[in-house]
Amino acid sequence: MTVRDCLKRLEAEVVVGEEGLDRSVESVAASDLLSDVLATHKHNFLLLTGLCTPQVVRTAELMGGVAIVFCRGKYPPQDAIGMAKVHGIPLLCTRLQLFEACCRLAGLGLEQAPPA
Amino acid sequence: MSDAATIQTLHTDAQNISIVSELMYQLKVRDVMTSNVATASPHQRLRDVQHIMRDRKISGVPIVENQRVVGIVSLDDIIRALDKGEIELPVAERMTRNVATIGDHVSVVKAIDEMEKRGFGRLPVLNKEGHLVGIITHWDIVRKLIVMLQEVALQAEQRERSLAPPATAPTDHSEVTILEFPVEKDDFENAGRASSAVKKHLQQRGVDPAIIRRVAVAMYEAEINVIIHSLGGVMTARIYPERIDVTALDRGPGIPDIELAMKEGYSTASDRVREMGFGAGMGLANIKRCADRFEIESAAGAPTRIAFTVSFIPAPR
Repeated sequence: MTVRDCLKRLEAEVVVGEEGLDRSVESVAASDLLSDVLATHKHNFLLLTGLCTPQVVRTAELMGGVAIVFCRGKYPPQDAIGMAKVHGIPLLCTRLQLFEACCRLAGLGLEQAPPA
Repeated sequence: MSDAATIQTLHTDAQNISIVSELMYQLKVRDVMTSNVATASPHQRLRDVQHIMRDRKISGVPIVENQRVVGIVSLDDIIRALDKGEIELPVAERMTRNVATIGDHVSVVKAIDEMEKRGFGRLPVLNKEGHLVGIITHWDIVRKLIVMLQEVALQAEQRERSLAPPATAPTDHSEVTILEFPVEKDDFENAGRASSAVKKHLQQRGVDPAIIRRVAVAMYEAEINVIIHSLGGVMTARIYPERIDVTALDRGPGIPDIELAMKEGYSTASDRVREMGFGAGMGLANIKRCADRFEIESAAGAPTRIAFTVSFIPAPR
């Protein structure tokens, strides 16, 4: 499963990071709390979130997240975009709500990134 | 979506709107206008104006005499003239006099207002002496805003690429490398940079990725704590061949009840901090879980010192 597969299923658009779309996704983390994300055990996870801050990018970068999808039509702020560019982390946007996005990815066979 | 995220959304949208409107108030007409304006004199013919419009691909030409704007001819005027067979007439006979203009020192917001009020798509721009110095259209404004927004992203990108080198150059004794980072109170913009720099260093050393993750998470939590809860401090990483020791030492105000602070879910973080997605009260517990050794010293009114160790040799956990 690649980021591109998820992008299609979520009807998402790419904000930045076209070159990272073929990265492999092993699991999904869905949260608006950075602490929950930090407690995730696996790397190579796709992060679904409604939290639009540069800290989300920092968290994904430190944890080895492969891409971030902002739900509910959110658009990341410019400084988050700049940071994501440096680390090659694709930022995507979908109009889907968090729950719907989770359901669709579960339908693809993806599972929750296990906690530490 | 959680309340924190909803509030964050409103803030982000408000931030983006206010960034744009701040930009627009800061921008003056002269920052945005096109300077080499195509003009014509009142003694030229309408056909000459038609050719100017065709060649420069514009739809409005200010008519100028002695550097002063005395009229303006629009594409509509030309079409009407062609229709009535008047295209050879002198400009002076068909130009619109009493032209709406705008000063070059005026804010772009005001310019947009004027264009809106008058229903004109362009305004000739005059300097304080009343001379024509440019012309401003909607498209000029949009293009400038796009460039400025991209600037913000570009600057963030450059800042991130130049991840601040450690406060003191790594002192490479044969056994230990020391990396030191000052961390400022409430410096959310830079939160995680120290952790990111150490992660990079460990990657270069070829440390096992799963171990690097634990170090990164623990250090990030410690870094955020210094930023959120303390008056500022220093993070120091000491990297040995077989392990890393990290210390976060702040300048106060200290933790009155350490046991309570260690409880998962307990947090003294402010609402503002929670809106950013922090402050769930998992930090200290998370550090302890990630590390092989964990120490915390603090008291009300005193500095807090957190120290943890992660071994590079994978051990059964």
